Amino acid sequence: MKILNARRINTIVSMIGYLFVWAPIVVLAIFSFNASAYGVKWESLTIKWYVDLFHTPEIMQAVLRSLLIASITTIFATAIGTLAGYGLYKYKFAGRRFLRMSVLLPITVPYVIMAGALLVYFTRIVHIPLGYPAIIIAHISFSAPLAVFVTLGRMQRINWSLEEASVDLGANTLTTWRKVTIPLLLPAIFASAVLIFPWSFNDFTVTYFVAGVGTTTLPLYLFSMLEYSLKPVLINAISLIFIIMPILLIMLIYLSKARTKHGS
Amino acid sequence: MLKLVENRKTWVFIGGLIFALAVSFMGSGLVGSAQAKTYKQYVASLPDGCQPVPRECFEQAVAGKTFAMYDWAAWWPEELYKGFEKEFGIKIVRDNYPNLDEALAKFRLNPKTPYDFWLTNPKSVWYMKNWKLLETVNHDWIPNVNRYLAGDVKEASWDKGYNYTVLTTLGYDAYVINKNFINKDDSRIPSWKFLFEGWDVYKDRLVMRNEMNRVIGNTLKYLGYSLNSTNPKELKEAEDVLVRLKPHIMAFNSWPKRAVMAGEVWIVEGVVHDYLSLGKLAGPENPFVPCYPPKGCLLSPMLVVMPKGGNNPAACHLFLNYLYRPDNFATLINGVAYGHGHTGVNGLIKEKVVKWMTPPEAGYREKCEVLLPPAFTGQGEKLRAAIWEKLKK
Repeated sequence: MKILNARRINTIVSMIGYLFVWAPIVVLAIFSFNASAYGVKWESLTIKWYVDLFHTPEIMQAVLRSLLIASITTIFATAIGTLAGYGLYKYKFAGRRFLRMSVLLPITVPYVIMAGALLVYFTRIVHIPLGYPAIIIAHISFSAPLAVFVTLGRMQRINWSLEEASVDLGANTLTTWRKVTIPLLLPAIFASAVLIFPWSFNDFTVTYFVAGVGTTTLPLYLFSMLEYSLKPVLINAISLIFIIMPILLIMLIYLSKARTKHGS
Repeated sequence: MLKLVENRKTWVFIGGLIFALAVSFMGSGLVGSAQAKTYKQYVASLPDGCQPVPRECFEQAVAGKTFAMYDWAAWWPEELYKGFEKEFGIKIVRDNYPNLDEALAKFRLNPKTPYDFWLTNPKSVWYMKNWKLLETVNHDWIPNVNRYLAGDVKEASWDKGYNYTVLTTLGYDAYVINKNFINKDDSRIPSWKFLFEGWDVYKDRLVMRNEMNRVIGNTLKYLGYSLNSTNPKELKEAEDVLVRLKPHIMAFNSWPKRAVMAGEVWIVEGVVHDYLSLGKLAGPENPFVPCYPPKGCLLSPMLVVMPKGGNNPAACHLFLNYLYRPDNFATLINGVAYGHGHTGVNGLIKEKVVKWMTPPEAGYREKCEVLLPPAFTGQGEKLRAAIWEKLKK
């Protein structure tokens, strides 16, 4: 009886948890189909905001810029972070502990301070042009630490004798990396990428300071739009698309996998 | 999931997506401009009463190929930008800021920020001038501005002789009521008394802008003082008024439009045009009534300036001259429903826009003031910040 009650409580608590997480998304999804531009009262069902969205080139360009920046950042930050995590775990050297802690710095420093510092660094010290190069480097600098920690977490659970076995069986370092190490690290690489992509896509503060001419990303556009736009409900439509996109992506990958299996 | 991650096809698929994205992005940047006019065609095509920029300005602007603008997103009508690109073959590259203080910080940290055009306010102009980050306006290159800009605006306190700025829109920072909840025929309306003396008819339904200089400035105006006052006694009186009003204030919020539309807010202090344009959405039953207090209010001009880092100042002059053509300026005002200082546009404003705007009576502008350095620097700023801190506690 006690167990049953505990189970019930668990179920109820879980349901409340899910409701808490999903309710805003569901409300957002529903109201993105509301004819009212301010979305305050339900008027009627419409898809006009989605049509408007695709007919507003400024938004579409901002979306493309954000996607491009987030994609490139994800590739480089994941690669750099994974290698750094591997090095910090596998190699013993003086100051390793300090280095491991200092990797956290870009995540813990307030973003506005980091943004100002990066702007001054890019414009007055290293002379990197503001715009895509600066944004991507800045995003990599604050998102690569995520990959470091994900990789370190994964590496603690890996049986490293597999790597040694590969070397014993005659594989050179590169082959061992390609055939053993990378496959072992793949879940960490994927998890890092999944974390870094939205991290970069959502960034407002750092991007704002290091953006150059013609590099307004979606978050920058949306914040500016709030002041005067008479169609704030467009934000609901954009948000829903970006919630659905990763879900569709995962579904497509599963489908592709299922087909491969079926074919073989 | 692990198998999925290990599957090479998964990575090929994701790589393909990124590649497609990059290709489509590059494609979007390759959209060419339509056939642009030559100087001769441009001069010949101008409507009556409009003058061209000099050939030198035109040629420099066109040779620059792009024109970098820094302004608000989704505010000015898009056809203004498209029309300019089509007419001159100059590509407009627009970026947007979330607020003017952050944009100012960006120019401060990077004086070479390469925008040719920045839409901003008098406070930023004052700072930018002090930092020597503004280009001067070449009056010979903006004949339409010279012709149509109102005389009092040309000599306005924020930039006498319009040497650094050109006015675009003019907002009146007063208050707006929702007539569905507040009787618009109340004898206390439209005086400041109705807003600042705190009446039960709007208890806890009042929203004031979350900007200390604006709120304290208008309070000083209600008391009959200059909104740029630095007199501690006058500012203490303003503080007392605001402290007494506090129980009636629902929030200090610069973006209360959603709550205003929902009828949660009945009276709102801010730029009246922002709420009047909501009337467009409210349809024929527009419930928003602008209140212009007879003592005057804060004026919020939006000014075009040319930062020093810009690469094509000639294009900015060309754009300003294009904007000040009455037909184009009417497009702007019909789109944003704001006040302005253009003398040749009144007959071109749509009747429904005039109705939404319900402009103040003639001569009202002279009673209003703009925020000037005494209010936002030195002693004035310190005293205001102390009042604001008490209010926000």
